[in-house]
Amino acid sequence: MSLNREVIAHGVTFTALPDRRFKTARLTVGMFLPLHEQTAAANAMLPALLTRATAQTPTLIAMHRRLSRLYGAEVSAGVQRLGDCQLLTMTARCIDNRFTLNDEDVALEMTALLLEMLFSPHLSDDGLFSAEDFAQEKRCLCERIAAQINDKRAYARFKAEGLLCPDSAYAVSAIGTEQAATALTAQTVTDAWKRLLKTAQFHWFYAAADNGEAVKAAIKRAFAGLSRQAAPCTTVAATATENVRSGDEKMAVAQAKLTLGFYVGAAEPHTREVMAARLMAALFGGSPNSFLFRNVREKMSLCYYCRASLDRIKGVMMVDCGVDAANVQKAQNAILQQLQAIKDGAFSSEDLETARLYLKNAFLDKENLQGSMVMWLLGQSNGTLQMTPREAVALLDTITADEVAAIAKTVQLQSTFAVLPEAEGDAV
Amino acid sequence: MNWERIEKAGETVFFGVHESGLPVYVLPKEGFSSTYAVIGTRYGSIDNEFTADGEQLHVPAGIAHYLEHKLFENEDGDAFQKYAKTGASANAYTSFMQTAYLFSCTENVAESLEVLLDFVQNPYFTEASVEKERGIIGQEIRMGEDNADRLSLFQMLRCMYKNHPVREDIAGTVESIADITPALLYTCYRTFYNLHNMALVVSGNIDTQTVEAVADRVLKKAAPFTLERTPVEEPAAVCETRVQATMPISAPLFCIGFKEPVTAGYVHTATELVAAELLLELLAGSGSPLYTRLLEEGLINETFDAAYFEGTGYAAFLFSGESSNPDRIAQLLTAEIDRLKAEGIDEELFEEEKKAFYGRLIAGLNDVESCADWVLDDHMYGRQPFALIDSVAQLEVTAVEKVLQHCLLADNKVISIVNAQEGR
Repeated sequence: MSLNREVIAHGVTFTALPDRRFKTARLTVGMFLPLHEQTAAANAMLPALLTRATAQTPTLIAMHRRLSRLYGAEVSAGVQRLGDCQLLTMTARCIDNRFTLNDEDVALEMTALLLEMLFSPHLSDDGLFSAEDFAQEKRCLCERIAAQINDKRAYARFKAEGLLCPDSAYAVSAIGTEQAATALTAQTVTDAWKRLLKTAQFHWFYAAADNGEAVKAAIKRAFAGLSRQAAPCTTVAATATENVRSGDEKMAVAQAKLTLGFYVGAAEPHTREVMAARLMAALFGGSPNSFLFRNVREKMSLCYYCRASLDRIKGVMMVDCGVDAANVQKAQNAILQQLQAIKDGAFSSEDLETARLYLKNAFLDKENLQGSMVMWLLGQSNGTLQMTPREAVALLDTITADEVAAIAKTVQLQSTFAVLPEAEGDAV
Repeated sequence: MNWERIEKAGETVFFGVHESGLPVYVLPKEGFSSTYAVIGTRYGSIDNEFTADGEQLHVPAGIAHYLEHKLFENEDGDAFQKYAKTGASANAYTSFMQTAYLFSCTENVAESLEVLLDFVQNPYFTEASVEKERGIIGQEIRMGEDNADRLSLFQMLRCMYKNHPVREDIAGTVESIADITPALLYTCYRTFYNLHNMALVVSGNIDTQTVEAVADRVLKKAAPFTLERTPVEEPAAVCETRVQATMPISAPLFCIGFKEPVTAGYVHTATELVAAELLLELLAGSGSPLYTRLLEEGLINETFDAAYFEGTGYAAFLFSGESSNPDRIAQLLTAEIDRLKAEGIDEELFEEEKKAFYGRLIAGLNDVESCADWVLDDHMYGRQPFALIDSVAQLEVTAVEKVLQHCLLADNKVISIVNAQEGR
């Protein structure tokens, strides 16, 4: 596979991923915006609002029927944080033209629909988003923000990230705050949509059996004549501090959820150091044979999950586990002991090679899933360098044990957050 | 081995029964660099009463899942450590109906397959290792107890089913797993992990010769398989119609279930399954009048889901999600069911949904893993590989009408609510 990312308009790229192995055609647009507390909620509403209706297809029922006639095509919307950026995604997927019953060009119709969603949304006569659509999506967004407390593991992680990088975009929720969402109006969200079209970095990915020329041409036409000033969207790498910031919150839970946040001395675009950090994280806690799995879970039986994940864009690593409340400190100590072992180079060549092999398989497997390949590339889109999975494996193969130990030595605990039971033996 | 070749929707499946007794499916997918293998046994959390060696047994809830955990540990080491050498990414799961062990890899396929087939045939349980696992599974259960969606479902099932073991959590409880011993694990293993009761599916970068060679090397001939599952006497009616609990969540979660009377041991046909799925789409899918009404009244959000929940001897239509007023949803749902029963199904809408369903099934053939999991499921339910595709293509509106008229009975409805703890 070779990457051919083409600039087709100011701040707009298009990458075709022709591949006859798959039975579907998939078109994804990733839209990067700086993540700010003031704009996060308005931006977060856009993908759901844009994908529910268009000027030509103004109701949910009509949209469903239109998608049904395209052999059950699906359109999905997403919002996430990537480094210090807010990434909005819209994806349309349909069966490949080869599998239609009457030689229909479903892929091009799907492309037209996605472009309609972006450029011709369902507006009222006053030029603002339809009041009814806006009201429903605003309620849904507010409920989604409130529901962040439901998943205690994710909640603890989010709080630890906020303590890790306070007063930065990294501490801002990708979907905004309850206060900001409640204050949204059809005007502010319509303004956010116009700002999106004018200033976001757009990255389009078309994965299908054909080479995507017709799809590219349609997208190019849609952006032609649009006056744009694409804003830079960058991430400031984390810096280490002397203090460890800690917090906890008591709730009626059966199990404590502990998250530790670490500074790591490697962040994109420093490719070699970042790859060493990825290998270090896999060895430490990111694979089934990792130090955390073998020791904290299997030997000490402290937890069912104890996992490390690296954010290579920001240069931080989070470790989270679910444990009995009485074992929170014991688990934290055990995690830090395992990290120290790696800093001291106390891992065998076999340990390192199994982590490397695991990571290698994980990279290569991206090529076997259409959606995963798109997300792999989208995750690199805001940088200057893109690597295919095979190029990543080639680099991974050259990382040495010394480099892994050296990167481990830069890792510093910066934050802890625990969700704790309200009382001993508290259970639902 | 004698391989039968089955072609469906652009996929080729080779099926054969190995001399050991194991049914084997191989799905070569050209151009894919990864290989995915899954071996499953028709033994899940609902199989808690059976006859073994002439003795009728009732085993603790959660034992099938416990056995899944323990099987990775053999006398000569841990399977994860063996997989670590081959680079395969491995996992396992236990559901109501089956337990499955799987791996995915991009190299060392034969070696990884050997690890898989070896460890599932060589159980090794000691007092110490079983006790160690109790702590880990205990934490898994605690993790599940903090999941409000899980509580919403299982408290609904306990109201719906008086005797059927589907009412028990798959992992059991901290109390029930305290009774699990090595002897019990061996009994369950010997009863259910017979190759005649299992199936292997391998898909992706693979061929029949590789699979056959590993099978010949590793598989031991299985004894003839006899199993007497104790039939479950389950009344048609539900036990309770309403249940509530409270958890620290932001808004109430609900699960509304309609129990379908099912004969003990009954397995739904592919036609019945697709008819039920299509009915759900017409009744409560995002293109239905009901869905629009629920959204307009502020009753649902993107968490709303409608599903057909079924297995051997049980079935229910489930409607779940987050809502400030689950009772209003139940009211509107019941009214819409009555309307559809009275007016019948619009044929034009049926044809559109049928086309969409077909498209979604084709899309499901996209990757190595989903193809293999699909074939394993088909085998466990006694279906030909990808039988659902033909069933959709041949589906008539009368089949959906039949499900509509016989199911979704108001008297068989249970509403489960998990309320938000005040102050959150």
